Amino acid sequence: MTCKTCRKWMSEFLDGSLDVWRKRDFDEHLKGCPACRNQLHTMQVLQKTLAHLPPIRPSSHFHFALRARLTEELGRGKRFRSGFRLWGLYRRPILVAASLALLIVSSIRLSRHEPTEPMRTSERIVTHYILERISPSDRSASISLNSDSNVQCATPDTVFVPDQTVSGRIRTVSF
Amino acid sequence: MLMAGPNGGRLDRSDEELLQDTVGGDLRAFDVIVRRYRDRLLNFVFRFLGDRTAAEDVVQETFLRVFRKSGEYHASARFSTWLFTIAGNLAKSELRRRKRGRFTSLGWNEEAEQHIEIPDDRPRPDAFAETEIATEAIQKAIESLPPNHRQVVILSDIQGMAYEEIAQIVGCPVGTVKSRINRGRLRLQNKLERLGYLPDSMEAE
Ligand SMILES: [Zn+2]
Repeated sequence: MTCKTCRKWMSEFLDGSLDVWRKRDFDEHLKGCPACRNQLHTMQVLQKTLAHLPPIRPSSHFHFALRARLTEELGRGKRFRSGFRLWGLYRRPILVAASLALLIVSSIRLSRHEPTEPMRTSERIVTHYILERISPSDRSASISLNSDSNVQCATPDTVFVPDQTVSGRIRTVSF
Repeated sequence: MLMAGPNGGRLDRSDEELLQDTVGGDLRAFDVIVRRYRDRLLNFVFRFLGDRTAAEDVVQETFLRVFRKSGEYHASARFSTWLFTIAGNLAKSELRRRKRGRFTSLGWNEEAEQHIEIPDDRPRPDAFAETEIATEAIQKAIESLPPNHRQVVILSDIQGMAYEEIAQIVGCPVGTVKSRINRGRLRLQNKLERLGYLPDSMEAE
């Protein structure tokens, strides 16, 4: 076996999927070739390193944003796919109404924001009146933003939107 | 654990059963699916794209599509395979979109972006600094791989999947997957060795 062939089979050797004959050739080559032994060792280290990369955790907005998308989808399902009872799937239609209400509220608030107005640090969207009608366990806000936005969920019922994001960068803010 | 609470009984159900429940009107069943796969998908897509926000977006879109097509799912493929196939395709489209430069026109600033990323909850003592730098270098090296190699290396070495499952996800013969993994690893190895993040394989023993 040449070094080139040895490298070609290296991953399979490491993953234990080489057939016995090839493995025997491989072992034999390794015995006499320090360069390939080194390469194999480095690949092992690489594998271990990749397996132990720190896991990424979803942001606090993840479920909010997903819920908003599903809510939207359910709404669409009702309008366009009457054969498929998607709307009925949703056990809390109030959430759908609430998201729509907040979308309207926030778009009004956003559109009212005059460009000449002095800059404030954040736009506060108060949503108490909507939240009162939603059970606490469902009070997760749906926030889906463009990546350069910086919306913060200050309390379960209040969202702060920095001014630079008020210029229409918000995709969805709903509860 | 007792089966009390909003997810009582659902946690024991298979993916396929949960999907059936979703079609049948149980939205909380879909929530269990989301929680079951969210982290794995997020890590897969994040390692592929190197951007948290975009990765979350792709994962949400994946779940949305699964939800939309839940009635069309046939158990010919494993549910997880189906899920990763959708996520992988969306991640690749996202990458293509980025390459076409749509994002730069919005003034996307990757460096600034990294500083306003959602902080993770892990403690960050100074002693971790070295490791974090290494993690970042490894991520950059992964991103430098061609998409086809990158995808299979992530699935195999970070997600710990078997060749056969990866082959189904990427829609290629197992042989192709094997050689892509090997070439991907060798490239990655080369890069990280040169940067000093892996032992130099050219060193004499
Ligand atoms: Zn050799």
